[in-house]
Amino acid sequence: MFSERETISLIPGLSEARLQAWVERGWVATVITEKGRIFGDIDVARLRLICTLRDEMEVDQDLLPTVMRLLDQVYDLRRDLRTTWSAIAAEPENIRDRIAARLDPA
Amino acid sequence: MQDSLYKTLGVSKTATQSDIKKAYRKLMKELHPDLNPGDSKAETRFKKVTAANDIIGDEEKRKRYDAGEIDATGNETPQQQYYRQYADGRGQNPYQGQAGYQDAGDMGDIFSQMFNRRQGGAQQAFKGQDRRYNMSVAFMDAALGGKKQVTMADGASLNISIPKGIESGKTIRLKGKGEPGHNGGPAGDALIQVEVENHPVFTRNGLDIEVTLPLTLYEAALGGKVSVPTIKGNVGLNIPAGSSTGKVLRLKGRGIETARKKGDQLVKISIQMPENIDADLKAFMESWQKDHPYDPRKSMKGAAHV
Repeated sequence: MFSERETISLIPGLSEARLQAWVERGWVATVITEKGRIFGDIDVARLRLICTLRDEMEVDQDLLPTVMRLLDQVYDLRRDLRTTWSAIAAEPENIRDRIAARLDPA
Repeated sequence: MQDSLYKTLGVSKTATQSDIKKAYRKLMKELHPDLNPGDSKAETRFKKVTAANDIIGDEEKRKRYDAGEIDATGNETPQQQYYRQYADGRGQNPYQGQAGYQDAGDMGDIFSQMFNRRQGGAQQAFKGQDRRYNMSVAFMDAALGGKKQVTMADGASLNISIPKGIESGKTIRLKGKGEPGHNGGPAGDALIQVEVENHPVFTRNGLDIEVTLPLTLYEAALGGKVSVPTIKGNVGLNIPAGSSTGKVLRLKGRGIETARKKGDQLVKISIQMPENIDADLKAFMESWQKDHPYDPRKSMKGAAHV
């Protein structure tokens, strides 16, 4: 877990004002403690990605929530797909074969 | 080899710094690993592109590269922690719950249930987005349950009940505390992911609590009742005579208690020598050793690699 100050120092391009605004807009989750906000590994990585999108890919501020929402959906879909795959993988071979046949009608 | 970095970025050797920057941006948008989860080809290309940009995107380094002072691999980029390493994992994270399946007919209902998605409302009414938070919780509050006041992103103050036995990574859902709904739809929820803090004495392992109990030499040798802290207060524990360091004693039902189950407390013994080995103890040990030798390292004989 990283404090607000540590988080800012870890990520080039992240400022206090940006962090404040992004938390308020709900782009990133924050840890609430008596001592102030702290951020986990995934939050730091997400902040780094948002900085990259904003500064290096020049994604417009208004477009950013759309990009993040689509990305969140991609990761969700991948997660659900993996869950489905492992459920199929746990089935006996004849059932797996039947599903495979349906997925590949040719 | 001299033109390979330019080739990687798809620019000519005479390109301006701003051309290189532009080319890099374009490739980055296409290849960034977080935008291409699960695509190792894009990742490999992205690494090459980034490495190339690190050199020829920097005017000074580019001059040295052109002059042959540094080669294409001269600069190693530090290993970056990409977002997808966290978001694309199996564990729970506060950013999930975005994908919907309500448009997939009968299968959509099945998938919605399987993946615990929210059910969609009427045509125009949308539920507000969920707000995600993390919250650190003191070890004892997580073990025994408790209340915690927190400040939400919009400045509002909320009292949260922490269910007893909650573990790191689990999420507390506060209905209707997320973003407001649209067109009469309900508000989203606040999803608070819990991070349990460490405790100086107690360590948690599932529902069991682990504690290391320091014993004096004579307590370990003679046995007897010793007071041991548990999460619900001190408990008298009978130490069997002759207990060695590493021996684990179980206090049944003294671990974490949830609605359904009760864990134990595991007490690991650690014998502590007195700070000073005084003349009395030294004399006693010397005489005792003479008449009662024993070998605790029997089982290690012959283990060394010769």
